[in-house]
Amino acid sequence: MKKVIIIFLTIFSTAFTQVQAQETATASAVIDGVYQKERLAQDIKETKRTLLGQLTEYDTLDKRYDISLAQFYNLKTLEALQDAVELGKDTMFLRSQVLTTYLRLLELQLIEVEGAELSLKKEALARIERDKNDLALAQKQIKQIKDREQLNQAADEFVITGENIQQTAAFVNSLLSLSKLQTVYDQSEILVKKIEDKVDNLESALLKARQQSSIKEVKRLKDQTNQDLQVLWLDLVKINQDKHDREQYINFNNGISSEINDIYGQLSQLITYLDEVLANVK
Amino acid sequence: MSNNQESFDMQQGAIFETANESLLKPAQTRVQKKSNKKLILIVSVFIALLVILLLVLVMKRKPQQQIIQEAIEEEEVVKLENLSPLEKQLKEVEQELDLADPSAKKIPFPQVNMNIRIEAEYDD
Repeated sequence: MKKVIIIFLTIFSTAFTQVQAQETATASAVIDGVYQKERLAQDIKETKRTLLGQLTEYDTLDKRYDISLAQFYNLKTLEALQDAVELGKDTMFLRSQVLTTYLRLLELQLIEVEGAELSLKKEALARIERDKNDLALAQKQIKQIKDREQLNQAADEFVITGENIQQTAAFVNSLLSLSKLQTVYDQSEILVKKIEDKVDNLESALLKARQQSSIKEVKRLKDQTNQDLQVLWLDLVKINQDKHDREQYINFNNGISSEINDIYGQLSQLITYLDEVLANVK
Repeated sequence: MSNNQESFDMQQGAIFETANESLLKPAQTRVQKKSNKKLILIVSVFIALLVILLLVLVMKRKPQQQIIQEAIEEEEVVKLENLSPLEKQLKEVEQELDLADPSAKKIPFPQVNMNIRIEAEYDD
């Protein structure tokens, strides 16, 4: 009897172990197969989720702070003032957390993007690091707030930090937009060369002449796109060199949307052309 | 006489046999009952283990949506595998273009109050 049970137990434990082993092997294969890029994409996704959660929390707290402030102005009591200081302090702290998460998101996106001009990317990452450190210092100061005077002092000191963060965000967003377009352009350029080689090796003279003419048009569009992209890159480099005008990054980021749209349209047309030529020379 | 004796012996033997059988029966029944109990126990253990194994397998089964998603992805991979290297490269560029779309939803600068302060009428 005991033997029979032992045999059954052995069979089932073996089967169970096999299932477990299979599962472990699959898991390790998945881990091995995950590229750094995928991990980065996952981090970006999680940071976005954290940011949205923090923003929801912030909105609620900010409304409560506004109400407490209105109450203080109406009632003009020390009790109402203390409530407003407490809520102002909490709102300030959460604001710094929201901004830190936003900067982290920009940082991850910048690390992920490929087509960025290296010196600009380095500069942007350094700015993000500086702003994150400033926010960490601001958080320490906020924790010490006990009265209205200290709250206003923290607010005064945050002015520069806040402006810096806005500029960094504008700078990084411009850099991200241009880098993404640059990536598409760089890959298209390689593709144009390869398709051109394929056209040059065509046996049919008639088809070859026709496709060579198409390639000429493709290259015209490619060169124009490159020229337009370079103008924007040069502007961004110039703004980065001229660090005295703090508003320039924000103005540049707000002003380039139409140029960005145009370049995107050109790249889209370029890919459509390449698709067409490739279909003809297959 | 001898015949009677024989028939008596046979009858007596039969009586003894019956007596022996009736004496043996409870012991045999006990043995049978014991072996039945063992069998029931083995079957119960077997069924219990089978149920556990089935539960483990069911728990490890992938949800329907995941299976469908994987099938779609696999189909896409097969489709991509049928493409020439240049066509594949073109597909990759198209994907990069989608990522660069300026109209794609971006997370804007957080709408936070950058000037949290409490002013009083009697401030300087």
